[in-house]
Amino acid sequence: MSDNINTGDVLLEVKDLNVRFYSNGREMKAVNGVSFDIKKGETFGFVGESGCGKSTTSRAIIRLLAENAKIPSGEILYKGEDILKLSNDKLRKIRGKEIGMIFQEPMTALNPVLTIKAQMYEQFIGTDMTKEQKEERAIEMLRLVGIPSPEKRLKEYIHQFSGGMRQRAMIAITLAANPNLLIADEPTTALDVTIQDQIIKLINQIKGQLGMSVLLITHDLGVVSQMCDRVAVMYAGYFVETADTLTLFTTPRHPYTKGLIDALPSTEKKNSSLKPIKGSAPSLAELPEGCPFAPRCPFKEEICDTALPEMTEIAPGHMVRCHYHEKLIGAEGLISIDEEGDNNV
Amino acid sequence: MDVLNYILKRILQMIPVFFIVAILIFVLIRAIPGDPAMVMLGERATAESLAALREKLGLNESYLTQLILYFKGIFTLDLGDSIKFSMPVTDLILSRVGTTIWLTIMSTFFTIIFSFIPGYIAGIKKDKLPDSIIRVIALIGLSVPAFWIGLVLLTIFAVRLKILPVSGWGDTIADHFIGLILPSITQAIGVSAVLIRNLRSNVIDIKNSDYVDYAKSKGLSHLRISSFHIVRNALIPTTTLLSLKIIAMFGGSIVIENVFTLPGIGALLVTSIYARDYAVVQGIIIMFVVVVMVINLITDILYSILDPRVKLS
Amino acid sequence: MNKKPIKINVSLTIGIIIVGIAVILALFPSAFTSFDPEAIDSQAMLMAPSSEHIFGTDNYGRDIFSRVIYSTRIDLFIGVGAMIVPFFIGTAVGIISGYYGGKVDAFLMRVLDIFMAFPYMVLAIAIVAITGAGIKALFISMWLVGWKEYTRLVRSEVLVVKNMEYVEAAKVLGYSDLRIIFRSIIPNVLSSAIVYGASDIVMCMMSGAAMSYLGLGVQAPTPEWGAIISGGKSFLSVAWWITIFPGIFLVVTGLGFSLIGDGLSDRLRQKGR
Repeated sequence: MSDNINTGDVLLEVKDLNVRFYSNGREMKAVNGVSFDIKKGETFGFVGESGCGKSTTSRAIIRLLAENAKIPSGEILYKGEDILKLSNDKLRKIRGKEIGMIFQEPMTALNPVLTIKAQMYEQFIGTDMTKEQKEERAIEMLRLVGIPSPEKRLKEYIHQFSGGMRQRAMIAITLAANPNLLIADEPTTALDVTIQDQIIKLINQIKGQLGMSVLLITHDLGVVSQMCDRVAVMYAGYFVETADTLTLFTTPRHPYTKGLIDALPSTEKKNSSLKPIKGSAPSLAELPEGCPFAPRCPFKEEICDTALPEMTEIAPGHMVRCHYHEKLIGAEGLISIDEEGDNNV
Repeated sequence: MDVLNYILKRILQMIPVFFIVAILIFVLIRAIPGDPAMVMLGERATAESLAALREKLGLNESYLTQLILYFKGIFTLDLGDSIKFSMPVTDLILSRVGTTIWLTIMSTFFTIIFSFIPGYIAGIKKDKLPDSIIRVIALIGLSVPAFWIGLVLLTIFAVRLKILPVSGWGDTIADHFIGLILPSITQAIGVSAVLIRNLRSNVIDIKNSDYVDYAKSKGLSHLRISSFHIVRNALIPTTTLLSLKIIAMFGGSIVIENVFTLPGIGALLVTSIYARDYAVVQGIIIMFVVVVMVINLITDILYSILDPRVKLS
Repeated sequence: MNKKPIKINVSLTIGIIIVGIAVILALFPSAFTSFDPEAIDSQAMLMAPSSEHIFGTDNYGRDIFSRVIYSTRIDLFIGVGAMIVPFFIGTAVGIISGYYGGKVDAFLMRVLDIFMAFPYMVLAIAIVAITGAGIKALFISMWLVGWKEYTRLVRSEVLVVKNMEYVEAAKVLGYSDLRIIFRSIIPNVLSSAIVYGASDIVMCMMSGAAMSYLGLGVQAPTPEWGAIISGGKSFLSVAWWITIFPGIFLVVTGLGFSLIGDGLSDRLRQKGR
């Protein structure tokens, strides 16, 4: 396996994952036929609007879903073993120790009435570390994430930390268990720009140091470009395009991806205003029969309303879910997609 | 150090409130229509005995002098004499307060037993069968008056089954304990209903919180998550509520001691009102006010210990 | 997302039915019983429930069913009457305190502190000591102790609402305080006071009954649930029915108001979303 340099060792492989939510007697199709893999040492990104299923997909990986959620089909192979088939005991051994998570808002994700130390030490339950070793490791972790005077701060509570330090503290706690995969759910969204940058650099640097893989969930393509090796674009619970980061930014082949990229504030064009994608995603309870993006798509044809396009590999490692993906080849300039469906090329 | 400073500061803040409350009590007692001496001794009292009592109560002095004597009395713990019991009010209160304190302690104990586990279960099993059952019981508990449920329990356990005493609290410690079982359970029913509802809603909020999800993502055991992350956090507001309810139960002794014929402060207050023994009424009200203030202070300190986000200031 | 299934609020419905029945009993007690609730009958003392006296009789031979039915009016009157005055006073004080803030707020909060220093029953009993037992004393004492919860609740809501944009905007537009309070503040803070009010009626009814039980409220021979229960206390071993039946009416009526309170707060929570 190790001599297959192209693909590297696959750490996590998700096959045809589906997640459904049930509330008030209605079924919501939150995740639909999602397949991807994450290799050792790689950063893989999910990008999409809020409610597109990216968080749900990432939480499904360690079965951290709400009570009203069901996973009717799919496989989540971690080191070859299907997480969905694990007993609760075995699942607990994967959670934290193999796959760790950081959340968007450390202020609510850390228990407000337990010290950082108490929450860090929880990661050492079940190990045979001595008290001294635990303390040493805890301080080492805080130092690793760049928290000054770690001995003192270890005894503090999360509300005593400033915004950026809070996120660092949560990263330190998660990484204390030495996971091989870090799921980072919007880790920088709640932070202001300069601190956002610091945290991105920190995760990138630690990832290299510890040799772990990262699954990044974000709505921000800017963060994707700074962190990810490969990206999946999600829309209404579907993957609509996956590619390596460079390919995705240079030759997007799904109109939605293209729209997202064009919506980025451009540094070259000084007077180009922000281009939001107009319209809104369909309700997960009433997904259209055909392509979920069709109602907002400027290239829509008849077939788009009736048949869901398959995920098609159009180049090695570049998959897209669109009947007319060729239409975007050579399409230049900005595309803005609005409710009426006009497109300005 | 912080805590000590805080206690000192709070006591300083409490002094003016206490003074105003004490003056209020002074005015209230003197607002009672009629001549207190006549009221106390009855209409057929002789002129000499009335004059003697007036002299003794200091009623011939100006109101200002009376007020000064009143405060002097409070600070020297000399609250005058009881007419009915012919003994100093302070001694009388001290001889009765033990019963009420034990009643309150046991009521608190039963409240915790009745409310913590059902409240937690209802929250965890929200909208499932156990939750529905517990909610209905709690709702009924809210609507049950203590004096009535006390009599119902008496009818069942003392009159019919004869396993517990009908009234009084005996002479030995064991008798006291047995005598307090029904009264405490009676007190605990209504308070538990309030606490169950509070704990239930706390648990519902917390079990869906980010930090419980994060704790799960760390691979912690179910037991650890429920005890260290859910229960611990959910109990913080509930504990505060409980201490407020302890004050209410202390006051509720007025009714409960009457139902179960217990020799406590509450029963003494009612007796004294009927007997127009105003020195005792005044003394008991002052005592209640002091107890309320002390419990409030303890509550605030306890809250800051349980929740590090709360700053004592 | 527009299709919201119209859900029947079970709590609210049952609560309204119970309270509705209580109101009918209170308005037309004579339609349900032919006995005079105060008529003494030395031939029928302490009779167990039978087809004639379905709830039995007391030690004066009075029909318990009739006494219980006739009590409904006064107990509802106590519950609502003891709640309604503090509702208005407490809400007004809370609005003034929260809206004007500063010294007004500081002063009113100190007054609140003073009232908070008395346990409920103790203050109520102190008032009775002054005015003498009776329904007047009952109302005065419950009005004096009842307002502070409304004040605390409403004040904290006002503090939130007054910083809302539309209130700020109204201030900038130069509207009078009175207009802002009535148009923008009251509509937004009233609902939580109303929800609390529903459960407060239960508390008022129970405290009123408790005071009457202690002999400090409604006086004999007027039929009142608490007073009837008190009269039955001496006969627990021989005539349990005197005590049990009025209590059941008290509990069920209280439950009705509790259910309304629960239902209203559920409604409110859904609306908030």
